[in-house]
Amino acid sequence: MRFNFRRFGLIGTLAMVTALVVAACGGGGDPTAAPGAPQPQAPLPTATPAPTATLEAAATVAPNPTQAPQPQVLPTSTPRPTTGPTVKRGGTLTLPQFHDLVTFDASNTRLYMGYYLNGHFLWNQVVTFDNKRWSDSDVVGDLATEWSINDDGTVWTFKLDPAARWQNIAPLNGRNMTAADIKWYFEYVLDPDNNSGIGGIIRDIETIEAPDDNTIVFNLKAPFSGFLRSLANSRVKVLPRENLEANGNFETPIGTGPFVHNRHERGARVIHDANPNYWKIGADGQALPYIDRVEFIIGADSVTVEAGLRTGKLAFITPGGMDPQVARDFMDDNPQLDWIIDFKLYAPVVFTNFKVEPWKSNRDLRLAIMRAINQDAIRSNVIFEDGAPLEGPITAGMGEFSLPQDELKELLRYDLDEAKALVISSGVGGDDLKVRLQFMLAGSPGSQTERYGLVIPPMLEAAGFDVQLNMPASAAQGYGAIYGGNFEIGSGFVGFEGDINNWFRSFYSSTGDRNRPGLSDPTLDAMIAEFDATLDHDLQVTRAHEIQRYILEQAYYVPLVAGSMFIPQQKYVKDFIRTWSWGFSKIEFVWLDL
Amino acid sequence: MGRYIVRRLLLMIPTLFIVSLLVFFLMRIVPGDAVDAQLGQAAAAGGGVTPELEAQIRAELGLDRPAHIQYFVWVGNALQGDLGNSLQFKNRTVWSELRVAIPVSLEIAIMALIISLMIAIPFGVLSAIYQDSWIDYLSRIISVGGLSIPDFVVATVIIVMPAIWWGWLPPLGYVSFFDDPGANLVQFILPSAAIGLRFSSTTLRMVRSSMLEVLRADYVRTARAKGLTSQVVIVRHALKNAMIAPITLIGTSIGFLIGGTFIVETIFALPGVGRLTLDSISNRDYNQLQGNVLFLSTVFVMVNLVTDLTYAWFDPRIRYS
Repeated sequence: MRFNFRRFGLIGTLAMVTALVVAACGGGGDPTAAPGAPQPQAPLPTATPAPTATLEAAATVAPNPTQAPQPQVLPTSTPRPTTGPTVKRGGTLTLPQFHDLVTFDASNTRLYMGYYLNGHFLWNQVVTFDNKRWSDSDVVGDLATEWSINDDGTVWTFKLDPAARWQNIAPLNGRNMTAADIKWYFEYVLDPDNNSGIGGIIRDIETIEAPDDNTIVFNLKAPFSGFLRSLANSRVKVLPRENLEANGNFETPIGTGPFVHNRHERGARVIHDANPNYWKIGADGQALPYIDRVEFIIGADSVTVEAGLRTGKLAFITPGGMDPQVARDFMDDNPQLDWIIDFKLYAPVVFTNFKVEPWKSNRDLRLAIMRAINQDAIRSNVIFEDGAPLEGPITAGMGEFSLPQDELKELLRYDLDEAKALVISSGVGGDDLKVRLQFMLAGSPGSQTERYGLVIPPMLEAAGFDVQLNMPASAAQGYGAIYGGNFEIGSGFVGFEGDINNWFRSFYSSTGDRNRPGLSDPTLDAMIAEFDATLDHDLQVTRAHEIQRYILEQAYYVPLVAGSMFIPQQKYVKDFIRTWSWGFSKIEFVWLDL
Repeated sequence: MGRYIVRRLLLMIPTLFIVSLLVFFLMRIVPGDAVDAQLGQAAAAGGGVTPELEAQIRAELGLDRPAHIQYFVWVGNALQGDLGNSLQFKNRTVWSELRVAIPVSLEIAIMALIISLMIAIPFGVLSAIYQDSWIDYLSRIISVGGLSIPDFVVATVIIVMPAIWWGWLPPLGYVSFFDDPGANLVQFILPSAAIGLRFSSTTLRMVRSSMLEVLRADYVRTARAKGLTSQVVIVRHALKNAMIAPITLIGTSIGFLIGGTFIVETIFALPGVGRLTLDSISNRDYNQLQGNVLFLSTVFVMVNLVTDLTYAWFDPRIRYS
């Protein structure tokens, strides 16, 4: 239970003063002799009722993003609907940022966290996710206004908004953004010599053409159903060539985005001001954005962030939201806040070290882990949400691409007797059942990660494993242990925005760049390749299900119930639309009703 | 006096050398290095990570060389005044990061020192003069409270309570004194009070016990017998002599105040040396951490020297040779 300062107020203060008086006067005596009132026992964790806000989780069905797209016309200057009769201009949006910004080089995926929050303010991308909820993944134009695809799915042609222009900063000086800019930048990130990291996301591109200023053509190596989603990935911005040529790097941020970088005070603040030269038009007929300034407060403690939310100084927190246990108390104490409760962007998973035996080829042993994990106990003791949906190899938030809950319930069923029998039938015993359970992320006291760490080992031990829990002191240590192969069973997270294709390829393919445990299954590789080449939407859904079913049947990964994300937001923040990119991809439409 | 100072300054060299050795090799014993930290952040944020990338970053940061070679390179550069670049913020030098952080910590340290002395000296003196009276008990309550309640608890309470009760919070994000003096003082008063309260406790107790001892000394009795007023006896004769022990404490604490306030700096989101050091440890930013520790060690040594030199002013019988 969280500490309630308000209730603590008078009694606590009196008790503290009394204690200090006694201590100062040398009193106190034998504490065992004091008759004091009995200490109330801390309540054991029990299934807490679901939050008052409605969770529409599994009911949401994503629109049809992977169907071979029809040519669309999406004028980017179309005013978006607003929640109020009048949009107000001005004001500063103040947000916490937990990690400092270490680079402005958006072509570099390393040291990414700071950029992740700031990127959408400064740059645009060809297309972007435009969902009202995280669980949707429809793609709309950003720099592009419309697009088309040829019959065999290998040539994608995008028409660009002729109004798009760079910020009015030397050496760009507000010139128009053209197809040649996109061609140059995409070729730059695709060039392995530049170590970009972005190139991996759009690696299906073979050649790029820019027949005129407002048309860009991507020729793919093979039909790829996820190409549009790859382009919508929040990392795939467009950066200008002149910036690199003038400065030797991209550390001076110049983009086409709605905000111009003002300054970065290390460890303190990042400030962006409205771009007076922005090319998109708002609901009031004037240039966007509506907000004058965005200010990130770097590295504030969670206590300070909560105080900032209470006093209205911070607009909302993102990403990640609040721990559900903290959020419930905070909700009760702060009715002045709106709460966004939605799916998580990622799923916690348990996996094994596929690089070594017996985990590599002993399916029974892996399946024993799956049968030993009681998802209901996780609901009750970790996320405190009875109705939380089961997660699959991609999260329950992926709409029709997610496996149905009934099927997940069967595949992920808890059966301790079966788990014990599987351990025996695996033929593994003795010291081979001594396992190091390595967590990838640090579990600070009271955190959800720590709760996972407290709950999972007893489950595995009940099935016959002898578990040594390794909870790292830092993510660096956890990732180091996983990459170093110093574990038998691991636990981390999987997620790739709304980009299902890259999700499969990245985590579950033998060549995936996030295939940390070293999974290598030619059958699975072939299934993922087949999924990538499938342009028919219904067939894609079927194949996405087949891949996930196969992963669970082979017990490669055991997804754990993740529960909802709880995000407090001030009521004065209007038209903030949460998307896979943490909501900031549509930041220019946000306004403040102050 | 001059020879004494020179000798003390020369003694700094082995001290700083040992400090540099300790911090350099202790950090390398800690699991995970700067590369792991960077890959961990990238992976946690969804970036792809490969062994090739890891090797490349390791080479870029110069961490692929043997530790003793890294040490000699670093010491060689440090002797020429080059503390190197931050491993995390690769385009920034260690010194440029420190230059931003030092004024923040210095301001907290000075304000905390003022607040603590404003509490400690009057309460300590009154507590000694009126021993076992209500003011003595009050002083001891303040002292025990300050000692037993950690400054992060005080800091948490003083940031949360006003937010709950009055919806008030000091300005978020560091504001320089030269940009907005009013906002800066409002911002710094709470963290300084949190640290100052704790720091005042030990000083108060030291002042009280020193004063009690001095007030019973023969020369104080003689001063009173001469017919001097109580004010003159206490301020001119007793307090000045009673301050030698507290001065030692205050002196050694200045180094702590500059470098050891990382929790309070974190709670109040102030980018001082303490938080910079904490971030450096989290991110295994060896260069930055080594630079910070070297700087803080130098401050400690220098402050100790200045403290020793002030003894002569308080007690003219003390001579340096």
